Amino acid sequence: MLKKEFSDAFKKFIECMILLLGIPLGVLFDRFIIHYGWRLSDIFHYVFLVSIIVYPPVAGLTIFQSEKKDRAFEYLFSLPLSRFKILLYKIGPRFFFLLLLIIASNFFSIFDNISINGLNLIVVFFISTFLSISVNSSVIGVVGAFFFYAGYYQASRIIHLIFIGWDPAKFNNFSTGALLSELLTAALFLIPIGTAFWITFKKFDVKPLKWQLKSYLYIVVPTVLVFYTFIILSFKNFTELSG
Amino acid sequence: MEKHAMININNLSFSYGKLKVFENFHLDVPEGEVCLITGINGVGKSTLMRLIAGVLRPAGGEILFDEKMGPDHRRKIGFISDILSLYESLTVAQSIEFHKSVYNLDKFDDSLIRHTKISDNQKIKELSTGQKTIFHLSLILSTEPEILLIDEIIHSIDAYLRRIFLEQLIQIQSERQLTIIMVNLNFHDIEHIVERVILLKAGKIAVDEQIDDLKAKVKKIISSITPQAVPVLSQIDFSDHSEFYVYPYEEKVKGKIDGEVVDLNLTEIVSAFIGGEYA
Repeated sequence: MLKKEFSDAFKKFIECMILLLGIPLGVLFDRFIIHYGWRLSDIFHYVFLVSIIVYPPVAGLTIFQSEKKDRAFEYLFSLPLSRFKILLYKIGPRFFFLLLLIIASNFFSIFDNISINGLNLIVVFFISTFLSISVNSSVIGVVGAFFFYAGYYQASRIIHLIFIGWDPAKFNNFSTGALLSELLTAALFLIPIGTAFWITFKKFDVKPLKWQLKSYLYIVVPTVLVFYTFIILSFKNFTELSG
Repeated sequence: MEKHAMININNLSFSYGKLKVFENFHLDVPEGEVCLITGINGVGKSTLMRLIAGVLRPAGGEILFDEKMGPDHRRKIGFISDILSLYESLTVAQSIEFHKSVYNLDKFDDSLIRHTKISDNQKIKELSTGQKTIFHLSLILSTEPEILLIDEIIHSIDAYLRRIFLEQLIQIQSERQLTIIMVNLNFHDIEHIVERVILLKAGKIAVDEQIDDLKAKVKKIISSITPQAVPVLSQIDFSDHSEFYVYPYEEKVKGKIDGEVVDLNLTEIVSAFIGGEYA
């Protein structure tokens, strides 16, 4: 099974990396049509950034794509594989390619000022993975993943601000405090969503989806509401402080 | 000597939302038995198969398997559903490799598919329904299951392959005491291998008989008047006479019946019961 999942993950990886073909196209476009004088490194910078940002949600949201498309859940669940093993085989290869991308981005950052927050990519990947089972529409999946990530991102900044005593002057995205805030927010956000995902997946069967999403209703929805309430209340507080 | 239960279903409950399919359902299937489950569409035949296969989870009750099935009984259950669930994007060779890796098999028994025109490089989605069925059955038989669950799919195989498959099934069944549960609406081909017939009605077992007993108890009476000595399941009216399907028929009432008593085959028996459901 691992071989199949590696193959599926590799296909998704290649699909996302096809965006890199935009680099020579961009050069040709500039050279023959618009003559803006773009440098190869400028084009590489933006196209590589986009391709790196696209991979985590695509890899996460499509983790059960072949089962959904081929109606192969029935086959998969009839196999003598524990749910934990299935998940491990599904997540492992996709996470491996994500790590490759993060390593590549760190490598390119030596030559270019590409700054990729690997932790954020990992958070997006897990948000998308945890949402994958609960949505059938890719549009809703992408919007949901973006909405959840926005909540995580804002909350991590606010937690960082709380740590530094609401002093915007001390705010530094690259500080240890910022990293710790991100890690704490990631844990606070991903643990409940991951728990809902695991509870659902552990009992998941071939019944229609709408009868299997209670955990999402009782865990994920309150978590997101708490996060956004926290963001709204804190921003009010922040505005008052800075005002 | 009574055989021990290979499958033991106790107090099974299952529903789709508010629609209750099974409530306090019981069923024992002994080792080596070939059992046919039938009933009208939507009665829960396929749901029961999926529950036994473990691809649906019961809301209540339990499905127990004989100890010889080992700690993970799914390793010893072969399930082929009516929707032919396989990874469509894989090739035949890749599917075989996938199946072998999951079951830790050294070899693949290709005795069934070598009769077909399936090639290793063909994608599953390129196979016909019959070819997919034969291929899926081959995958399942390679794992040497103790229990085989076949859901309403045999009719999709052409007559030649169906004969080969059923011959192989009979051979395996006699060699290894394979327990087989089939859901089917076309009984002609399987009549000679079925031992027990279970008719589901409203989430319960309405009829549970050995096939020979059933054949002795279900008869067609051709008469112009409704028989009073036996319960009528269903009837078909013609201009000058009617055909009454009766159950349970006993030889001792023969003298009280005004009409011709006719034996039935399995297809006619099941049609009589299902006809009664729709009446």
